[in-house]
Amino acid sequence: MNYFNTPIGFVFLAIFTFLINVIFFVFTQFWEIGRASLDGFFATFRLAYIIFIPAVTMRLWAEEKRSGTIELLFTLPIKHAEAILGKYLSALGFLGVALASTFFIPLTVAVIGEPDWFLIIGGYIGAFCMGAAYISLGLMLSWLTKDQIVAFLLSVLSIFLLFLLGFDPVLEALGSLKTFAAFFSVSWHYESLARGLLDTRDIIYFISFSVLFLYLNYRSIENNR
Amino acid sequence: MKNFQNSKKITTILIIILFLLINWVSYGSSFRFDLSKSGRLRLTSKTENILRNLPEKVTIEAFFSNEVPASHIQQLSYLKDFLKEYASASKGKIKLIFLDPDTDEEAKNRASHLGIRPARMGSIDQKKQEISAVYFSLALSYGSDNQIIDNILNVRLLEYELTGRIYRLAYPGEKQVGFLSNHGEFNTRELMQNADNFATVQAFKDSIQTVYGNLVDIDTEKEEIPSEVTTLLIVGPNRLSPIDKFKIDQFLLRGGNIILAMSGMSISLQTGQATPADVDVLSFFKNYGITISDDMVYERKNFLPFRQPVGPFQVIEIPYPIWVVAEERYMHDSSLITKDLPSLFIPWTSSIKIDEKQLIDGEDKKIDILIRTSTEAWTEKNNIFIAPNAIKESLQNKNQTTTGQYDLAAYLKGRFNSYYSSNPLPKEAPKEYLKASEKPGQILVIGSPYAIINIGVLQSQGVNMNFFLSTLDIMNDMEELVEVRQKEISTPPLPSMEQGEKNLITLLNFLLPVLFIGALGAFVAYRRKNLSNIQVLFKEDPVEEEKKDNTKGDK
Repeated sequence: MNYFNTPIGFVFLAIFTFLINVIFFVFTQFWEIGRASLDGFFATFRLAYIIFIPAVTMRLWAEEKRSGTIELLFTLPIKHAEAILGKYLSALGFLGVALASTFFIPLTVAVIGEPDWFLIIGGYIGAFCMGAAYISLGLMLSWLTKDQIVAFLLSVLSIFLLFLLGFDPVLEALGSLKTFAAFFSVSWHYESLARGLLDTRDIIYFISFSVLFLYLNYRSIENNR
Repeated sequence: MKNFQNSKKITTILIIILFLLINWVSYGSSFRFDLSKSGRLRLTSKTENILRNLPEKVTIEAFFSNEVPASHIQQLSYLKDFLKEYASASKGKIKLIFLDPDTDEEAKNRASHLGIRPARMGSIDQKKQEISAVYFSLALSYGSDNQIIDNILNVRLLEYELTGRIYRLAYPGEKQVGFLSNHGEFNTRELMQNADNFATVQAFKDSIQTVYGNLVDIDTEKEEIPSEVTTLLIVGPNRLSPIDKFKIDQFLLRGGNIILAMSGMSISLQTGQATPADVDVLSFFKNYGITISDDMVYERKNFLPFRQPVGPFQVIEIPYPIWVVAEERYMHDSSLITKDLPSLFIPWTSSIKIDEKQLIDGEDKKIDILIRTSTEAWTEKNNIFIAPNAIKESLQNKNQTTTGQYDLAAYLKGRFNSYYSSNPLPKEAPKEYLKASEKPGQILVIGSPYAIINIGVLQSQGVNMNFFLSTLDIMNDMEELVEVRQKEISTPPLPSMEQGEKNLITLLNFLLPVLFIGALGAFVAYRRKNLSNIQVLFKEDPVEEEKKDNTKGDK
């Protein structure tokens, strides 16, 4: 709920929704293609998350450290792991609200055409899983600094690098490692979910990715205390 | 040991290794579930039935290079998953073998023996500094017969292609499709020579070849219709000689099938005019209950606009009501041909009428009006200027038009009387001939030849092609394959809209969520302000505070 205690949460939401609309209506050529397909819509999340997720996670630890409330937090009778999980879940809640705010687009397509609702559900599951993985990464990076801006830039850079791993020229440059790198790119797993294919490999990937970075976050806190 | 367990660095490294390991293991074995309503990524029950009931085992050798360009890594993974699922669904009837001819010399020789060559990918191989050439082909073996699917990356409907070919291997039959040629119609040879049409016709031919072998060009003026030909495609002929008519008539009465794509108007793209077509050709088909009117159908809303480039990056859309788009709700809902069809693009079409009295009554008789216009359609006759701007002008000048609903396509099955029971026989015709159907024949009629080729196929994203292929399957008793193909039909098109409507919808999508979020933010802020006021009020109540203090003191 902390996100909605200040206007900044609403500002992030409004910017995110606006960004998704711009990418969808301007860049994916929805009207020109003329099909009741939301493939382009779900592809927009990959780009929008590069900015949005760092904006959501940058304050989570960095602000606590800067203002000194981190000391107060750790004097409370909660474990470090619980604090991490609390922050992670609150960010996931905010991500859920953000995704819900984009629902106008599928609704519009449903009014003027006949999209496949099951594909839309699959797309949203994929977008949520990808966001959850990025949030765990952003949360860990936010711990590494006191400065929100530095946390934001670190997250943008990391997510952008992961985004690039799904980009053909980058993969090609990796030579014989390309198959390995492609499999570990977030885009690879997201694409499959966004097409409406629930695959245990993708689910395992996103869960293990999140667990890994939550663990690394825990380890960093333990090392520092 | 205790030191080892306590070592945080080692634990962290182990966790990272575990992450990689779990994912690598999951890569080998997985479970997939397709969420889509159409089941576009899962096998149909028909495919499963066909595979499980195969009389003998089929071997699929997948010649796949493991080192592929980055752009195809995901596709390779998808194909491997698909083939594993396909083999697993067959319950042991399919033996699947993956071979990499790049690393396995024996596999390379086998590929070469089968005539499989690596495909050029268009990307540069970093090691060799040359265009990548990779193997992406399948070889199907059934007994002593083989079928090759070369470069399956180009295959649009893989499940249909595979199942169709296996079906043909398992149940070889003499069923071929003929194409009436040399009557001023669109014949395959002419279309192949025209670069613009090449891809379209080739795709259509390839799809037919998957199940029916070669598409045979037949000039009925010079040759008989071969007995292996079970279906004749008649696409927009502008003349039929007496002997042509005789051969077509007898073919139908022998139980042959006809797909008739023909307009009552003759279109000239050079002059930009549509004029009434040859009455003689049209009247011939009236004998079988088919009237193709000499008119052009206009749709008020359900049409594809004409896109005209006006600059290097700008395209304007001109309303073009004679490129009719038939909507799902105006299609026959229980016919297999139109079932699950999201739409059909029928450019420059005439209306049709079916007279069921022309079919002989019996159990075999079946007439389905497959496609109708909306209720807001109208027709025009005589000379029509079809240039988009001319159509636009004529629409502007036309204030009041009586609209109605027209039939555009129909399917007829049954027994027919010969055309020659009421017309004189041609000189060249034999004296002995069938005067009525000996077996039920089938006819699919659609009021536009352009629905089957060229623009109709190009603009419909495969939907039109599926419509005709489904018809072929049904006419040739291979209904099982219809479902396999129909699930891969693309997403339905959006209805035609004015640019203003599109702009309004876009604007609403930009504004409404932002306004909603703003309103929610204002509401939350208002509530918080109220709550803090209440808290202040409570804090400032001296009586309450004093009571609390006294209670604490007593304790």
